[in-house]
Amino acid sequence: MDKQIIEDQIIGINSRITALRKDRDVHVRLQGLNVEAEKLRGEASADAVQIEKEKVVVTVLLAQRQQIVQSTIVGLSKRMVEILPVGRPDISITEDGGVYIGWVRQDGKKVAYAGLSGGEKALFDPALAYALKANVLLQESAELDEERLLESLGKFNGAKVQVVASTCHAPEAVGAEWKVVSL
Amino acid sequence: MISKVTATGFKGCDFEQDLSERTLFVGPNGAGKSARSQALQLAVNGGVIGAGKTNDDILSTFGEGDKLVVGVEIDGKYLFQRGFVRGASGSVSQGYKAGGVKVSKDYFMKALGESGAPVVLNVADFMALSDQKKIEALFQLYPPAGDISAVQGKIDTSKEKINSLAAKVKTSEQAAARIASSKSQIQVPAGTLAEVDAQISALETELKEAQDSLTQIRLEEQRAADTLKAKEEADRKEKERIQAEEKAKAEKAAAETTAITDEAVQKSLAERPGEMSKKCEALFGEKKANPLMDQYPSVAQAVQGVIANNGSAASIQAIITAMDEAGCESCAAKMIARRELRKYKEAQNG
Repeated sequence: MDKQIIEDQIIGINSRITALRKDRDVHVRLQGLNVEAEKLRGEASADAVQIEKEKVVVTVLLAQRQQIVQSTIVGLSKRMVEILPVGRPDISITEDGGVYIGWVRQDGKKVAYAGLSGGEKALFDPALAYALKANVLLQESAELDEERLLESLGKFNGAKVQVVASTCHAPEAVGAEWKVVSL
Repeated sequence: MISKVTATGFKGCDFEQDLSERTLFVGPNGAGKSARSQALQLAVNGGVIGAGKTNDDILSTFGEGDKLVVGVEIDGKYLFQRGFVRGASGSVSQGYKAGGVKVSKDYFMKALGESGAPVVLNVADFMALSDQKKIEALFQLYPPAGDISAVQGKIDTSKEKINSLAAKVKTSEQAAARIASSKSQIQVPAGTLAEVDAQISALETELKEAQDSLTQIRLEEQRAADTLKAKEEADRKEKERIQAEEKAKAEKAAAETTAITDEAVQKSLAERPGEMSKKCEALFGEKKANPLMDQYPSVAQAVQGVIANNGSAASIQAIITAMDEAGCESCAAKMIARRELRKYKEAQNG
């Protein structure tokens, strides 16, 4: 074969090899990136599994904590029910360690303390104060209708506590144990 | 039981209100219902929610002058009073009385507690507590059925672990996203890595074959060049050898010429009668009667002509060489030429 042809052929082959080696470098780099990305995804996946496991642990611990505080919740709620004329207290220790205090109305709807109306607070506050072992209860009953007022006053009768209530309109019938002071 | 609540200068009112175990105040707005409840709270707790915490705040909120006094009577026997008074300096101080006698704050609190410990709790105060304080208060009143702190500690630890793992997951995912972004900016060459490797391997084989072919061609070229060079060298040596031989022959001939005499020539001619004559006749013309110069006048003339025309030994030698090439190895003409050459050289050398 002609020498010049072979020399040209060698130059051409070298050129193609150089170009292919550049392509190869890109492939190798891509392969490295793929490996790294796969590693990261694997780590994230393993961590996510670990998170789920830890969440289960937390759920168990929360249940355990709930069980431990159940006596506190039950004790508090039972004492409130002694005074609360309607509905029932809704108290719990939240997952983040907070204290939730609310009321389950007669219709079953739950209302947080901050969402209670003035009349509801007039009923709820003395019950909570009673549960917190206050022995003198003050009830601002102005926002209670007569039915609720009488119901509430009737509830106080069973409790060993002094009660000072106030209202704008005297109910028609009040228990004999109540001293009505007109101002 | 609180049997009486009293107030002087409280929201513009002075009162001594008897209380029973169940008391219901009834009256229109501004009648003093809330004033009695607030006076009771202030006397027992020393403050009322929303009225501020300093003595000045309290006097400003409930008093209308420079002094107010609130009190509670316990079980109809013990009267406990708090007074808020603005002094000459303008500051408000709080004073305490038990049974009408001025006492210290500590004594007041202790005596109030011992007298029947009235607890007037404002729910708004409780609700304003932090969760931790609320829990502490609740647990104090209703103890939990286990070590809540230990469980809470485990919960906190697990949550921290979850948060840490979540942060790690986020970091890993962000890093993976960055890699994906980097990949998207790379122009992917055609084929796979294995295919590119195969192509490179094939081309390297092809390259090696081409390089081998080129090497072979270069070797052949080198061999051809070497052969040519060797041939040229051999030719050169052969030429040198021939030249050396010719030189040696010439020198020999010159030496032999020195010994040639007319008698030797005659003798030689006599030994080979007719043979050389024919040759000489073919070369120089018809034979003459004089055996030497006369027999070959053309040779003698040629030699003489050379000399007469200022020829040189080289010219004579050229004649001799021409005769050698013609085959005149020992003919008379050649001998004459040699003799003439010798004479010429002798003449030249003196």
